Amino acid sequence: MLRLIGAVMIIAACGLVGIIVSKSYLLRPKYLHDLSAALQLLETEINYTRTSLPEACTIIAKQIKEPVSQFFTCFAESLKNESGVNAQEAWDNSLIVLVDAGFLKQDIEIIKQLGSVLGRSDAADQLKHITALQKRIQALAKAAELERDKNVRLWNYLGFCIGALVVLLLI
Amino acid sequence: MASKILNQLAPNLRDILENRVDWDTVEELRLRVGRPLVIKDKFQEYGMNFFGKCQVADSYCVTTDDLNRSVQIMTQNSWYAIDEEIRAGYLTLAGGHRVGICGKVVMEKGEIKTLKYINGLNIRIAKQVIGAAKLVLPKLYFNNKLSSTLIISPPGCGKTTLLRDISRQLSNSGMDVVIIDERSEIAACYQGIPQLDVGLRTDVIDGCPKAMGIMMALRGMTPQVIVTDEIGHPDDGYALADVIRAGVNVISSCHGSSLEAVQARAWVQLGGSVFTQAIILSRRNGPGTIEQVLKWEQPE
Repeated sequence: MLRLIGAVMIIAACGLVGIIVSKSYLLRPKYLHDLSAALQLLETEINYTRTSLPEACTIIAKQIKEPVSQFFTCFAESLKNESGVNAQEAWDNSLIVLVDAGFLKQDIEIIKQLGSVLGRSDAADQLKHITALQKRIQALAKAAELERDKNVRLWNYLGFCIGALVVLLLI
Repeated sequence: MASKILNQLAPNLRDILENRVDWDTVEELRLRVGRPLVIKDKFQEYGMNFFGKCQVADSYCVTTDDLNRSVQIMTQNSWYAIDEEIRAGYLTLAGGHRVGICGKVVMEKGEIKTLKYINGLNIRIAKQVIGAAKLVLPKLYFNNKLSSTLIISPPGCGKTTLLRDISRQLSNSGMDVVIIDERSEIAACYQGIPQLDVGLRTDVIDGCPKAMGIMMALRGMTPQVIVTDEIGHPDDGYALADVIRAGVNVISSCHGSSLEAVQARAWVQLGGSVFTQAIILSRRNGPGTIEQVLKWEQPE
């Protein structure tokens, strides 16, 4: 009886790990699409209403889902608190939110680049930079979708299979 | 309110100025890269370092990072939002303080595209002096009727302070006043809301070129008085000509040292006849000293 319970627990634990890994493949493209949408909103705020960066990011945060919204809130708040940080520092510090949410290192490296130019030039130049980043994010999202299609089902099954294998080896 | 200016400066400068400067007396703060920080009040100029007030030569030496950081804070990290102002060489802070900017100008097709390598800032502290117009106000009336007046003086003689208090007092006495505040200096609007008291019946068209603002005010706001700052562009003259037709009073200021110098300018030919008198200011007995009140005679 005890053995049976042990076996079930091992299979469940391994299965769960598999599901968690597959979930990360499932969420990344979603997050990247959210980020791309947020950048589109930022473009509009800058282009049409010349809204200041902290205000624009607060508005964007209200229209986008977590965790991207949290990233923009964090960025806007650190710009607003008058501690003397500039946009680049605030942007870099806020990236931790995206790292925690499961963005990959390559995503972060690309997003980070915008921080060095954000808010530092006229609207036309800002738009160029934002559009460029948006295009790269969309490319990443596409690649992430392909990976998702390949890996989600695989990891869903793989976890349970490994669990079963371990049980077999132990018996 | 002037102490809020501290939050608009780079952290290094805040550390030096915090609790050491009497913001009620400071008129100007000058930051130049690689040179000492200079503070000017009504009577003198002095420096400031980590030990306190000092001679200008011993003052804290301003760094490029101090300037860049200050500008980033002042622009809320949003250069694009105020690049029009920056191209004109200044920006306005919350509270109406005006910051003049110097740096390397980037030209494109004969026009200023932007400024880079910022090397100097001149922060002029805006102050509301309630009652500043006490002496001037009676001179604005002729036979108990308000007359359109041009206030003439060199920079730094208190024109804007005076205009603000004139608006406040006229407005509180029952007149509908519209301020065309091209550089957000008179009403010191921040996100559209006047930060200084400009009166109960005063509307403010903020950040709008004077000529366009005057037309907007005439069309929509039925003002009795239009108040505006630093008239000088020929377009202003055309707009003033319309004001004459509408029969609205104008109180405005203009850079210059004498009536003759002002009357030689192009806008005067176009719309100068709106004015019935001119008041010349100086700093002889402090800002806002009335030197002369002259009848306006339109030059031929």
